[in-house]
Amino acid sequence: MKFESQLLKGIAPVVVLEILSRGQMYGYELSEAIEQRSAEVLTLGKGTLYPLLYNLEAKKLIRGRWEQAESGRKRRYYSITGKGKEELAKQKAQLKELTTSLNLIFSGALAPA
Amino acid sequence: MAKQNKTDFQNVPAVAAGFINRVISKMRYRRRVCRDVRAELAAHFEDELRGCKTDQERQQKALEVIAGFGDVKMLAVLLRRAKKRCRPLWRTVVARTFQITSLLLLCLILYTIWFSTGKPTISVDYLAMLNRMSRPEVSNKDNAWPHLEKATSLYVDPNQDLREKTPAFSNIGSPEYRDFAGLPEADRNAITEYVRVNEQAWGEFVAASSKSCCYHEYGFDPNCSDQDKRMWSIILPHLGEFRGLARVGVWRCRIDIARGSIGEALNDCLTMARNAGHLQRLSTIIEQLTGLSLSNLANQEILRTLESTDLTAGQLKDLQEQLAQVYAGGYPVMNLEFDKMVFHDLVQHLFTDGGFGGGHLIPAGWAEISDDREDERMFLVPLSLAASMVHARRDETLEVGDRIYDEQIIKLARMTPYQRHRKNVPSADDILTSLSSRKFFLLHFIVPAFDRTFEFAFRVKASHQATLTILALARWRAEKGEYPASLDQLTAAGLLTDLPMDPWSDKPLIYRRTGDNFILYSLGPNFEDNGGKPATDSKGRPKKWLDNDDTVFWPLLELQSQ
Repeated sequence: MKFESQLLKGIAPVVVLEILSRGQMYGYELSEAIEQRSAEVLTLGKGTLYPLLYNLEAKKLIRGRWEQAESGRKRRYYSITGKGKEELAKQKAQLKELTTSLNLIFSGALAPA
Repeated sequence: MAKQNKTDFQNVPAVAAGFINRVISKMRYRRRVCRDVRAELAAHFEDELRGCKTDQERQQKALEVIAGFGDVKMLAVLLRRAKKRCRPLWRTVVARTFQITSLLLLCLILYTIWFSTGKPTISVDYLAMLNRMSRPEVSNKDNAWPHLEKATSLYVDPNQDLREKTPAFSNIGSPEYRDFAGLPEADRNAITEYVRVNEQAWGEFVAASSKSCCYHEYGFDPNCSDQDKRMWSIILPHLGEFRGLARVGVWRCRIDIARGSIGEALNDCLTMARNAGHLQRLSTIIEQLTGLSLSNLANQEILRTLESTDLTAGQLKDLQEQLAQVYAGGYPVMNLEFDKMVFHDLVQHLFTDGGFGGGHLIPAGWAEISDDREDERMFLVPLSLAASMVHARRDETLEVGDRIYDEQIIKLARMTPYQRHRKNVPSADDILTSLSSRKFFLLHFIVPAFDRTFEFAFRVKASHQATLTILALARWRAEKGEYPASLDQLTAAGLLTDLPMDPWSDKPLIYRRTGDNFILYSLGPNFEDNGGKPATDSKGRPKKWLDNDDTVFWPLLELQSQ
């Protein structure tokens, strides 16, 4: 099942920060990681990915750096910053509260089986 | 577009390279940023296509990835927007400053174009207004102007010999040449001939003096273009010839005295005085000044005639009454309405009409009034533009100009020098000086220096009243054998309607008996009574209206000149 793009857009920054909190990645790698780790439920459109990365970089939540890959191709690797970690923690806490609230509304129907 | 690195697209199909280039092209951002984005997108495609084995497969996959990126334009916009957010603060400040500066510059350019292309709207015909205002409600047959105009057209200038070789002719005011009979025969002949050739002109001058009023229609030179039809360029014909006619009058008077024709001599003086009154009542300052000069000359010649001849009581009475009759309706105050109209007309021609401030000064108009040299106008363009921009707008210019005319200059014209001195009223020059010369350039340009004009008008008025008083004193003496103890006796006896007022004291002119003669004087420009000691110039010669001593009307002083 694929999520509606609008729904994903709201949580996309948190998802990116969460993935990057586990290690630096370049754009393609990141989009693959999101798909894999969400069991292919979450897919970040290619047209959204790079603008999102640049926006997070502008907010200094992530940092981009060019590095030479083994293949010789230069890639831009993104890693989370200290500020990004703080933001991630805050967003995760809010998501937790949101999940709890939604669970209450849907009488536990949203809780994992 | 940012210069592309060939290695970026080494392992990327052409379709993907084309897509990336289109995105970068539409991003329209800094070259370095575009280069990074291109490299990153190329790397993305390369990663996506890594698993494809055949070219067809790579091609197919590339198209799928391109579809995944969505609309090129939208992607470019999002990338540009995000990258702009990434730039450091100083770069944002520089970019914003540049944008604002560019915007302001653009606005300035547009404003400048709009400003320089402004055109005036001519909505009021001030010439027609002036002509309506000037025309009295009288019959044409009572108008002196046709005769004056004819007199000036018939007037014959003195020939070169007379002008250059006859000292008496060129020094008409000098007492040594006052006695015509005492001049060398050659000079007498030349002057008599000059008077004779102007007989016809003088005849018309006399006819004009017998009319009750004087008016004429003002107009522009029929050959001048519409653009040149400004109130300041209306034709004022023949004013120079009036000076010549006055000269004819003076010499006629002196010739008549030499011949013993005193009555004729007095008539010549009265002719000048009456025509002076006509000109003083015309609308333009220059015509009024011509009238004042003529009046001055007439008064001077009357007093000289009185001094050099023995007039009978009847002649004196007749002369005094006729001279008083010149200003029967009251001595005219200088009329500045025409000058005010010139100002309004100039504003109408040099300002746009409407918009912020009621309109603005047109740069070409500024250049026109500030410099007449066509070849230099090109260099004046930036200056005239800047000067027009800092100049007050139309409404403010009119408001300040009207205030200066109505509340200050016209009021000043009515104030005697003594009133101005006592109240320390600023002069017309002071009023203008208090205004910024940049903001009110037009007013500085158009409003003449009226101070000396107003003072001259009061001098002539005082001279006229002094002449009437001296005639009344002569009448008294002719009847009673001596001069009266005071001027009040003249008014009490009905020889004088009013006491002659001194504009430099706002009190009657000072009169004293001195043995068998008398002295009549004004305090003059120093506002102090110096006991009737005549003011003198730097060479010690007696001269009226200097501020070192008094201005003496009687006795006539040797070498005293106007």
